[in-house]
Amino acid sequence: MKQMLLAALAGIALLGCSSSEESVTLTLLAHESFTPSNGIFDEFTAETGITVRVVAVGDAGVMVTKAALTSGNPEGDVMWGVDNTLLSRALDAEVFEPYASPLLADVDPSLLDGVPANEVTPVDTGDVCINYDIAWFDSREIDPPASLLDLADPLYRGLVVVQSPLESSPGFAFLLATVAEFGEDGWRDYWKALRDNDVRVTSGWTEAYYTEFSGSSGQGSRPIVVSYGSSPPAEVLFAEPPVTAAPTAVATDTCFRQVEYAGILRGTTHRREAELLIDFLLGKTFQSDLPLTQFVYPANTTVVLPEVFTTHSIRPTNPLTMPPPRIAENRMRWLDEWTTVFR
Amino acid sequence: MTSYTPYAHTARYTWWPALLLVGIFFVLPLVTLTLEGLVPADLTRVFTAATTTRVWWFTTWQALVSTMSTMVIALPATWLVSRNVFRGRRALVALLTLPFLLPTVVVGVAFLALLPPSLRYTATAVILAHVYFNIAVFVRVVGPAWSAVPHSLLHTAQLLGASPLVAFHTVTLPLIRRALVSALGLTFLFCFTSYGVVRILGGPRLSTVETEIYFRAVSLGDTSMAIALGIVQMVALALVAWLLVKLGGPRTSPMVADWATTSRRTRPVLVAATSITYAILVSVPLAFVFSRSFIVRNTMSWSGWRQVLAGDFGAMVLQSLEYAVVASAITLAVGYGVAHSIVHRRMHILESASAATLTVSSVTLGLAIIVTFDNPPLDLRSWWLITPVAHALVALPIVVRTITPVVAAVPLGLAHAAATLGASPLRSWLNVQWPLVRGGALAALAMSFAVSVGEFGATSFLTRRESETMPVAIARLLGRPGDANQLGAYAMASILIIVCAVAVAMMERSRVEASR
Repeated sequence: MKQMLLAALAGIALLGCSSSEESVTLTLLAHESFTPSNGIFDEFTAETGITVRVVAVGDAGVMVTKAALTSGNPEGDVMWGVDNTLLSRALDAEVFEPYASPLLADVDPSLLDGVPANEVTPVDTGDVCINYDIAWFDSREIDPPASLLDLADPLYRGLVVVQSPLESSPGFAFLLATVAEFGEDGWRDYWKALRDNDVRVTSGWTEAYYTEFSGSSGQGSRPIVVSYGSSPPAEVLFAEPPVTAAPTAVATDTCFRQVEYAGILRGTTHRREAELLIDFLLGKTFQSDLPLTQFVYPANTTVVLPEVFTTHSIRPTNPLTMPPPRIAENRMRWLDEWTTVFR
Repeated sequence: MTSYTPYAHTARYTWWPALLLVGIFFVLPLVTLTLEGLVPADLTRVFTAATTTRVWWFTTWQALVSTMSTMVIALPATWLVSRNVFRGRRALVALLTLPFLLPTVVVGVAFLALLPPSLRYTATAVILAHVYFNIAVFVRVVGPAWSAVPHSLLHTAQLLGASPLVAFHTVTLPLIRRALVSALGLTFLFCFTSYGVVRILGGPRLSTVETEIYFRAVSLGDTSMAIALGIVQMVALALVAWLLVKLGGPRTSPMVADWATTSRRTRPVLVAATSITYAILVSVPLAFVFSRSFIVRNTMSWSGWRQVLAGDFGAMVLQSLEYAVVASAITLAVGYGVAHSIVHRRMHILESASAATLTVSSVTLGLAIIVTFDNPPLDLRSWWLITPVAHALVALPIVVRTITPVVAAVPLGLAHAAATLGASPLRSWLNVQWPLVRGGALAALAMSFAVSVGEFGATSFLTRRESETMPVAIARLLGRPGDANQLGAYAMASILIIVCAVAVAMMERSRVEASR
């Protein structure tokens, strides 16, 4: 009976995938925020004859969870978008095959620190930073916060909204920022001070940014929010009607640097083609597309940033950061301890 | 077992497709995930860890309070639409059904924005939202039974001196008890396993078993604990389902297919006041979604609608509709088979068994499917049918409950007569049964269509970019800064509301046709 069932299912499965092309099709797994321009892979296909099929598999956390569960027997050939807060989990589960792209020469060397054996390739960076509502502070003639410590100042009482590190990726990055800034001994006291200063914690970024934050179109009541370093240029680019200046700005000393990586999935049957795809993802065409479609900074330093980025966003020169192994080692404990302070 | 019908033989087998569907895409994956991912010690950790004890407590009490509150708020509405005849009644039923079908990610965010700040991220907010989403369950499950309570009985009770309350208690309640218990049970299941509402409206301090499973599996990578929580939740809810069957007792009245219109008494003021109140309460969050699709920072802009009507989004809408067509076809075919077996072989156990899919977290099921179907020849992960199949699993319990009363309402005498005249079971079914159940079947089809269009949980886990559905796209747009993205998200949410509203309206229409 069971064999019959399996055979029947196999038949159905075969009907499902009726592809019989000669050329190779690579499957690129990505998180749901991966939204490159349409037709971006046409150039790659024209050069190599390889077709790229992009498959979004949930948010970055879900993607890594799935990849870890199917390690060695992956859903695709290449994965885009594991970041430094999740990387160790993927590496521990041996999700990737190492590959050193020749284009690594064009990558900011500091990004290679976390991956000495080239397990994965850094492809872009982004910052999670305190954003504030410029008009709110202007109209009250109050200085906007400049540092993490400021947020605990009574001057900013009841003005801050952050996301829970338990459930939100920027929320977790912000927790890491506080650990990096105040150290293992000080971060819990800092969070206690935040709590006593009436900071609001939401589960996700959407509620924080659109319901609570005063600078977004949701027009909430709190003028300080944890968001991305690229949120101000995004507010300009997607403004309705068009505006010339961003309504929000970033406190550059509060930023935590997130690095996103791409890697070849262990178990792929197209190793050579996968290498070509990694090279393409790190190449100028693809990297130039990143800022305006995904609001991240290209890892390839030869790419020129679009004007909207350089005008409306200040890139922190010395952001807070943390090596992936330290994150992996302490993730559960930090989250537990955060819970005891906050829940 | 004297109840043999001409369909008794076929009814022995018609539930098998459902068994196959649930067996392969539900039971098999869960068993595989458990065998591969569970560290047995975690089963005890589920009860002992301090945080999880609190999670169980909150999950249980909020589900109980939500269910009871829903009943209190929903019963007057149910009375309104089932015991009164008035203009716009069907429109009101359709309106009351809508929230249930819409993805929580859309209405949840609207709901949050509308709540006074002091109520945000509180248990009250969670309970209010649960009431809002589940009124439909009572209206749809209890309504038909209530409308079938003969007016003459109530009249007699009143002649004998019973007050309306006493009449309700002694006459109406026994007749609607079964439906009421069924609605209570379904609502309890939905509230217990609620994820989106708790995340968005409850904030990070409130955690249910479902959000805890997600947190364990995705944030911590502790899949074993997530599975353990999932298993315990499933067992606990199965127990609840079984208890409810016991409590529901034997069927007290023949089930009815449609809203009978027995009541002719007119209470125009009361009816008008109540229906307007409910219509406004239900419409406010929906109206908020519409307004956000073209008003941003107090100015009007149609860019959201332009985005949605441009190519990319059009394809997404089509994708959602395509899945919905396939999913509702599967659900109806399979669900009808179950109803056939329930009615013609008295396999009532199937009715509660079909709720099994509601007891499992979509995160768990999503993980289970990925882990199970990752090996050739069963590498179904990239199979396009996986998403509609997941939708069908979600819609099945609702469809079974919608269509069983319809099948049961067909007088058996007709089938006997056909058999006496020499018709084969198939022929008798085609010529006698089908014309009578067609309306109800269409209604069930529309219901599962709407469930599929709005489904977010399992889809967000199984989704693949080539096949992004509307709810998933809305969640993605809501997750980005920039006014145009907001407008686009709400414009798409408005389209989703319209699609669901059309589906519900069609469902109501087919009910009318069925009753003719």
